[in-house]
Parts: sequence; structure tokens; C-alpha cells
Amino acid sequence: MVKFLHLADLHLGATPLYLGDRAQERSKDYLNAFQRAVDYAIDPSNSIDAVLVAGDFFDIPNPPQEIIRFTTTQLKRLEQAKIPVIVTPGNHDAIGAAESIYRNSSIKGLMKIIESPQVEHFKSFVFNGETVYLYGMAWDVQSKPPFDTFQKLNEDGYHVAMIHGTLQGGLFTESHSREIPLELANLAKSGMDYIALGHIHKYQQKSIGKSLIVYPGTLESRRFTPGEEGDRYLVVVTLEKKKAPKLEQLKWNCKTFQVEKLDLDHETAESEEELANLIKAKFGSNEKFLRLELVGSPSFIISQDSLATRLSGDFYWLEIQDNTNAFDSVLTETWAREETIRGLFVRKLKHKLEGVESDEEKQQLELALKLATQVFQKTGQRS
Amino acid sequence: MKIKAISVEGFGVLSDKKATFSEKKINIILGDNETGKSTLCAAIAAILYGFANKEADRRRSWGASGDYKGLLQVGIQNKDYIIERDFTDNHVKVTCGIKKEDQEILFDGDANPKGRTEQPRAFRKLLDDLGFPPETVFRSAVYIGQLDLEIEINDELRQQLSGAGKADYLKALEELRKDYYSLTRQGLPGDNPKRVDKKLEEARAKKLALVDEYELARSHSSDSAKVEKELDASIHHSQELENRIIEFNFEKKALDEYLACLKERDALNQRIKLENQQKERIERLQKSINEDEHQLSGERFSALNSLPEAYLQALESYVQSDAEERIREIQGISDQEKQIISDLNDNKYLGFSAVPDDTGSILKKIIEEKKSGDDFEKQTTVIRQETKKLSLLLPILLLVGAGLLGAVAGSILSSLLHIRMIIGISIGLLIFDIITGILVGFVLLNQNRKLHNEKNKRLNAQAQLDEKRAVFQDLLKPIEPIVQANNGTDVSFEILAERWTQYQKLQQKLASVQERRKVLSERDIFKIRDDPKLKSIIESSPAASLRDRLKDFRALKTKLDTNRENLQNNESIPFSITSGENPDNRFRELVILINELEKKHTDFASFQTDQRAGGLRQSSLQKEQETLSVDINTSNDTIRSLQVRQGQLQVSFYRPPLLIQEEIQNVDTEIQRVEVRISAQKIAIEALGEAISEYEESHLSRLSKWVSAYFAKFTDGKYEQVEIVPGERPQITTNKGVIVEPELLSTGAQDQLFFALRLAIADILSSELSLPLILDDTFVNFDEKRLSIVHLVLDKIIESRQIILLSHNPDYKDWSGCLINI
Repeated sequence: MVKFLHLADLHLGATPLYLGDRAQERSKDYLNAFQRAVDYAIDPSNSIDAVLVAGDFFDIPNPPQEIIRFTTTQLKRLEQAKIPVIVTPGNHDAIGAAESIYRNSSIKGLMKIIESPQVEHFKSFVFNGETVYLYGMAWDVQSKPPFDTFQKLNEDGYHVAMIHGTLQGGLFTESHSREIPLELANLAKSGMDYIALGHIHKYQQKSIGKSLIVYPGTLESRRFTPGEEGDRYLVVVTLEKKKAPKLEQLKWNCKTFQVEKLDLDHETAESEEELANLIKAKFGSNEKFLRLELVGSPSFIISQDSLATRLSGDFYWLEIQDNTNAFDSVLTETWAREETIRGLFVRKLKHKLEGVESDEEKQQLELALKLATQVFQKTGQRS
Repeated sequence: MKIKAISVEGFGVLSDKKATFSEKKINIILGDNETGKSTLCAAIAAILYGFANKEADRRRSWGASGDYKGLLQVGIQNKDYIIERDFTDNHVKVTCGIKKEDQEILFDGDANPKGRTEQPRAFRKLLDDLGFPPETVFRSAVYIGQLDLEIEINDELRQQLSGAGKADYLKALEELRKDYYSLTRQGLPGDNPKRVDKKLEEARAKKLALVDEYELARSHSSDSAKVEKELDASIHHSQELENRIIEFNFEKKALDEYLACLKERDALNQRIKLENQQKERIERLQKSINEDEHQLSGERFSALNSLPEAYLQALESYVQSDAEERIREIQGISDQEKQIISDLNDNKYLGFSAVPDDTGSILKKIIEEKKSGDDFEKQTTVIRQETKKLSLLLPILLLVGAGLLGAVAGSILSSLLHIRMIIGISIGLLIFDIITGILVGFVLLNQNRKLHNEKNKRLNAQAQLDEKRAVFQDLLKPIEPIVQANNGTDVSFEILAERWTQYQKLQQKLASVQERRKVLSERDIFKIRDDPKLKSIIESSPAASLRDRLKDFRALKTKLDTNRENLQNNESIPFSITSGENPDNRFRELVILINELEKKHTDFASFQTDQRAGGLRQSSLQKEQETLSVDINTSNDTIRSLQVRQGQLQVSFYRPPLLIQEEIQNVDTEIQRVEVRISAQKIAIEALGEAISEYEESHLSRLSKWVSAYFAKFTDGKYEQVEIVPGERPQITTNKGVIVEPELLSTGAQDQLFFALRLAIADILSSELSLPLILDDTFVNFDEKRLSIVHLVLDKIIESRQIILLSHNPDYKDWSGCLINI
């Protein structure tokens, strides 16, 4: 029996600049996630034989010194525990890039780095008397298709491949670069027991033939791109003779990305305060990155900024997308009937809306109405 | 909105007044001056809006100390609201509904008109929400008093007219413009773009910078590629050579790895063997240890095994000391000692023990003294005898001699001289006798002197002898016991001396024997022998057997310790235990690796058996590489400059294009967001601007139209048109087309003009919620004809608005309305 951790897309050293002041703090979450994975690996009770990193170990090919120091410490811990770390460079940490960490750094000796630009047999390892034949390729400008067709050695033992690429027909492929396309059928022909993929940040698994193909996803989400929401997992793989590979998914993220849509036609929120309370009650958590899309026609006009300010303490990160229909709101309809400037204004915009077909213009008109409404409410509030 | 009822307490002349109003008929309140008509009107406003500053005190009933409050019941859109205000502290309660069980309290708290806290603000907002106009508007459009009909269209009124006071549209427009300017430098038409902010511009500039960076980063990569191409082209030859070197390298690397693997495999094999041997050895050691331990715990050694090391050593020294022999020796010595003591007790040594140690030397002196005394005595005797011999013998002898000689000489002479013999003899005798006589005399003289001398000598000797005898006696004193013990025996001093010597020797021998015995007796073996821990062991078996046992025990112990030490020693423990690495696994890995390399390089297999051939192949590859390297060096000179360029390109500070791309995407999203917002802002500004101007135009023209209609009605068509221009006085046009200034109208006509204006304003403001009309002696200056027209107009207005008319003029009684007395 051979047991290993399948990691990928750790993006060590990544700093999510969009978080502003919290960017550095979040950056540490990525490091902590890896450190915890190392803790898990070296714990003798978990009997981990090896650690596989299927690409994008680092966010850039030449990470800063502190990241190298941190990673060195972690890799040394694994080395002391006699756990080899097998790494395939990804598109973020391409081996062909200038000053690549995989070529220049002292850290190189602590990993077994797959350098071949094409998938081929890399090395064989014997764990507990059983042999694991490892195949893989490094993401490189020299890499040429096909990437999913390679020869399995005619040997007894486990055959495991590591590729940082995009599985055609898989989930969330559109939000990732597709330089290394992989056909499921071709991968199945390789006869591998296990194919450790990286690149797509969401956990996915596919069984085809006798092969099990797995994307472990990230250990911590990076941003609101498709596939980054929800829990992240540490993937523990057990290979056992005459048995299908066993997968264990351990929830690993300390913060969660969540994308939600709130239809205000089905909610009873009559004011911004009520809406804020509703959102807080439904989704509030300081360990959450929430992207909330508001839709429907509320009875009041939403001020995105003011709502976000109200909720700022209830989430680690909150993004509100106000796609509510202001034109159909009760307030707007009341105003539209008024013989006032705002009544005239609303009627004018409604009139314009009727003649508009493109979504972009509709969006502009919606926003124009909301902006003006907010300003009316602001300037109309007399002391 | 309808005022349904009012009640006041302590309010001016109305100390406790209640009134209810009709909604459908004109409420006519008649009364003389000072009856409280205007006070009632003031109370309505005061309940709604409160008093300004000290107005409250002024309005309080004179001398009243009780309640000072008011209650207003109004109907708004089929709902009744009750507003109660306590004028003393401006506490207001607003409830919705009349029946207590249905009542809902909308407000209950401080409603100070100047209050800035939450409650007064909330109250004002509630009034606003319910549709009440601001106080100033109430006073101009709802309440129309006497003699102050003239009205100016001020800003507030204009805002109310244009948007029911819900927002200040000009301010709103300005806000929208400000927001717009915060986004873009492109000003709106007619604006000065210099004062604006530039969020979009910043975002675009950022994007441009990022795109530049991205392009540079990319071109840096593509530059590298270009240089690489040039290098490829110009060093095609070198490339081939390099390829060959790479091939060699590849083969050499593979060969190095292969040979290293073989070596490692063999070493590992050796190591595994060694390890197995060591394992066996350990097992043996362990077995031996177990056996030895078992043996040690057995009967033969258990007693010894439990002894501490010091005891063991003692026991060893005991068995090694040949203790029994020593004991026998001590026994012999004791016998010897007894013999010596018995010898010493012999009679011949009687008294020896009581004499001093220097008895020997004393005896020697005694013997010497005795001998010297005896010699002396003999000498004295000789002297004495010789003295006796000297006195007689010599002269006799001399005479005899001389006679004989004379006789002989006389005979010889007689013969010679032939004289008679007798004569010759006689003559010879005579001569010789004479000579002899002389000689005898001399001898006698000498003899006498000698005798005298001898006598002196003898006397001296005697004296000395006496002295010696005294000394002798002194010498005898210390050895008196011996002398006494031997008294009466013929034992000489010499014998005594001899005995003394013997005695001394015996004494010495005794001392020596005793010393030896003491030394032997004092040795550790006896202590060991008597130790309670060891006694039983020593006594359990003969020394020789014990010695063997101990020896065996020691040997066993040493062996056990060595074995244990060997077992503990790291080097003797198998590698797999110390290194934590399983050599079997590594061995299998190596075998796989070797097979893989052999598959790739079929010629390698032969090196399995002949590793030396492999080494030779290595060096031949090395040589070929070196030859190729020289060729390449020559080619490299030509391309060095290109490599320098390549090196320069490699030292760059560009971020990876991927990261820049991500940031560009973020900035793009931001730009897109700002652009949408700008467009929306622009749409909003334009639409609001249009709405404002359109509305201003429309509501002013509507206002003008409505005013014109009212005024034409009041003046019976004399004045056809009134044009309202904000900030200016109304322009009046007669039915003949003449424009007339308001100042030129009669007082009554002016009142009618402004009444028309107020009615028109109230009409406009009532488009959303109809406001009541409170007319407080408004028509004082109206002539009868025009008053009747007003009556007709009011009858029309009453259909949509509530009217409360207050007057002192009893003529109003004739109007169809609801008469209320106060």
C-alpha cells in the first residue's frame, strides 16, 4: 500500500492585491495551508509515503527570498521524515522562465523536479516494497502536443502521472489558460492507475477505464473566478494492490469563497437596514469571501456602497453586485406618477429604456436611475 | 388631507376649545375680533410645526397654569391621524386610527422644531411622509391670512412646486455632476474640465502603464527568443557539436548513473550481506548473552553474581593469596616461636633476661680486662723471678766461667812457655780471675740497677693490677644476675659471652618470627575470610575450587559485558535500524533503474560483468567530449557577443507577464465599471437637467395658466393673463393686451391677484395630496361682486380641498357652508 498527498496550485507567494490592506494577511493563509499539509504528511500516524505537487507550487517562477526560506523549511521537514516531494512545474512557476526557482535555487535539491517538456517516465520509487512508476511533464514553452498520449512501462507496480493542464470537458476550464489540453479518452489509454492533475482550482475527479483522474484544487481559494468558491480539500490518495485508488478529502481551507444571488422579490426587506440584516443572517461570517448578486425589484433603491459599508464588519471580504431592477421598484413607480421633477426624470429614463435593446445600455439606464435616486434621497433629507 | 377636529388648552384666548370641521362644506367660523379665530389658525400650525423660540410663552393663556397643549385630528387617504402636542415641552404623540384598539403609535417623543436630535428629525420626516408641506409652504399655500396676500416665489416654494419638496433637484444635479467629475476629466458640455478629478483617467493611465510593462515583459521574453534564434542560426555548426556533446553527456550521465547504480547496488548488496551477518551476529550475541545470563543466575554463579564488584575483588585477592599456605606458615612460625622461647628459657640463659642489652660488649670488656690482668700478673711474676735469678746466678756463672777459662788459658800458656803446668795454670787462673772479678763487679752493679728497676716496675704493675681488679669488679656489676646464676660453676666469661651471643640470636630470631607472624596475621585475607557476605562462599568450597569458580565467573562476566557492549554499539546494529532507510527498497529501486538504463542503452549490460570496461568507456567518452569542447570553444568565440546580449536580457526586473495580465484584467474590470458608471452618470445628469428645465418651464407655465384663470375669473375677465417669473413680480396682461405692473392695480385687485396665485400654488402642491385651505379674513378688500365670484370659486374648490373660512363678517352666514361658532 502506498499513500501520498496530491497537491496542486498552492501558488505560494501569491499576494491578492485586490484585498488591499488584507493582501499580506491573506497571502499568509496560502503558506499556512501548505505548512499544515506538511504537518499532516510528517505525522507518522498518517503514514504518508510521498507528496506530489502537480504544478503552480509557486505563484511566480522566481519567488522572493522569504518564500524560498519558508518553503525550504517545510521541504526540510519532509526530507527529515524521509518523504520525497515530487514536483512538476506549472504555468505560474514555469521551469523555462528566467531565474526559475527550479533551476537556480538551493531549494532544488529538496525536491524531485520533473523537467521533461513532454510526458514521459520520470522516476520509479519503492515504498514499503511496492514500486511506483512516476510519469510527468513540466509546463514549458517547448512543450508540444499531444500531452495526453504517453507510453506506460510494462512493469508491475503502480503507475502515476502528474500533469499541469486543462482537462477538455472538465469544469471551469474557461477561466484557466488552455495551453496544455488533455483529452479524457487519451489519458484513459495511458493505463495509469492515477493521474494527478493541476491547474484547475476546483476539486474534480473522473474515473475512466482503470484510471482515476483528479484535480485536487487549491488549499485556499484565490479570487472570485469560477471554481474558486466552496470548500478546499487536502487530497490523500491510497494505492492498494488489486483495488481502485482510495481518495480521502479533508476540508483544508480556513476561509471560504461563496457566490450567492439574492432575489429581493422573494425576500421581505423594506429598507437598506432590513436588507443588511437579512444578508448578515443568511451569509454572515468573518471567514467568508462573499460575492453577492442582488436581483429583483426591491421597494427601495439600493445603494451598493452604503450597503457594503453597513456589512463591512460581517464578512472577511464582501462584493455586492447590484443587479436589482430599479425601474420596477414600488418607489420608482410611485415617483413615475408624480408631477414632479423626479417624476419627470423617472418617466424620461423609462422612456429611454423602452427604446434600448443592448444589455449594456439597459445596465447604464438602471445605474443612472439608481445614482439619481440615491442623490435625490441624499439631498432631499432635510434636517 | 382634511383637518377633522382640533382641541386646545391654555392656548391664548382659547383656554379650552374644541372644534370639529366638515370635509365637504366650507367651514365658516364667525366671530368678532379677539374671539380667537386667528388663534385657532395659529394653533393648527403650532400643533403641526411647534413654536419658534419664545412664541410659545407669548401664546399661552394669560395667568393660566394648567395644561398647555393641542390636538389635531386629520384624515389622510382614508386614515385618521391624531397629533397631540404639549406646548410646554414640545412632546408630540402621533397615532394612526381613532379606535383605541386599532390605534398605532407612529411617534411619541420630542418634536422640538429646532431640535437636531434623532426624535425631532424623525418627527419632521413623519410629517413629510404623511404629506404635510414644510411650515413656510403651509403658511403660504394653506393658510392665507388677512392683509398679507402678496407672495414671492422663493427658492423653497419653487422646489416644492417642482418636486413636492422631496429633493433639491439643483443640489441633486450638482451632486451627480460632482460624482461624474470624480470619475472623468472629460467635462460635461459647458463645464470647466480643469477642476475635475480623474478616476477613469488614472485607471486608464494605470492600464497603459501595465500594458507597457506587459509588452516590455513580453518583448523581453521575445527578445530573448530572437537572440536565441540568431544564436541558433549563427552557431548551427556549434549546435551540432553541442548536440553531439549533449549526446555524449547524456550517454555519459547515463553511464555515470549506471555505473554508480552498479556500484551502489554492489555496495548495497555487500551491505545487505553485512547487515545479515550482523543480524546473525546480533542474534548470536543475544543468544550468548541469554545463555550467559542464565548461567550467571545458576547455582554456581548466583552467589557471586549478586556480589558487588568490591567484594568480588576482595574474594579474588583472597583466593589468589594462597591463604591456606599462609595459615600453615603462621602455624609453623608459632611452633618455631615456642621452640625459641623454650630455648631461651634454658638454664644456661638464666639471668640473661635481666641484663642490659649491651651485656655482650660488657662481657667482651670483662674478658679483655681479665686477660690483661692475668698477663700483668704473669709479667709481675716473671719480673719477680728474673729479679731473683739476676742476684746469684750471673756472678757465679761468671766466676765458674772465668776459672775454667783461666785453667784452660794457663794450660795453653804453660805448654807454650814450658813452664810447669801448675805455674801456667796458676798464672792463667790469676789473670782470668782478675778479669772475671772486674766483669763480675760490673755485672753485679748492672744487676743491682736492673733489679732496682724491676722492683719499681713490679710495684707499679701491682698498683695497676689492683686498679684493674677494681674496674673488673665494676664491670661485673651490670651482669650480676648472670654472674650469680653461674656462681659456683666453671662457666667462663668467654662461655658466657658465647651464650650471650646465642641468646641474642635467639631473641632476634624470636622477634623476627613474631614480626612475620604479626604481618601474616594482619593481612586482608583474614578480614575477607571473616566478612559475613563472603564467609559462606569461602567456606562452601576449597580455595582452589573457589578460585576456579571465580575465574570462570570473571570470564563469563567479561564475555557478557563485551557481548552487551557489542550489542549496544551503533556500528554493530544493522544499517536499516540506524539510518531509517530500508536498503531492500533502495536495492529494488536500483535494480529497476539499472534495467531502465539498460533498456535505453543496450550496450551497458555488458558492463554488469566487466565494470572496468565501463570505466574505460567513461574515459573514452570524456576524451571525445573534450575534443568536441575544443571545437565548440572556437565556435563560441563568434557567438559570445550574442550570449552577452542574451545575458543582459536575462537580468530583468519585469514581473512575469502572467501576473501583469491578471492585474490588467483587474484594471479592465475597474475601467469597465467606471465607464458604465460614467455613462450612467451622464445619462442621469442629462435626464435630470432636462427634467428640471422641462418641469420648471411646465410648472411655471402651468402656474401662470392657473393664476391667469383664477385672476381672470376674479376680475371678470378684465385681466387675461398673468405670467409668473421666479424672482420677479408677476406680469399682468389685460384683455386688451396691455401689460400692467401689479403695483398699478387697485388694492382689491392686488389682493385678488395674490389670492389667485396662492390658490394656484396650493392646487399644484395638492396634486399628490390635497391640502386644506384656511382663509382668515382674506377677502376684506374684495367688493361684493368679486366676493360672490370667490364664493363660486370656493364652491368649486371644496370638491377637492377642505376649506376653513374665518371672518368677523356676519355676511358669510349666508354662504352655504357649515357654520362653526367659537
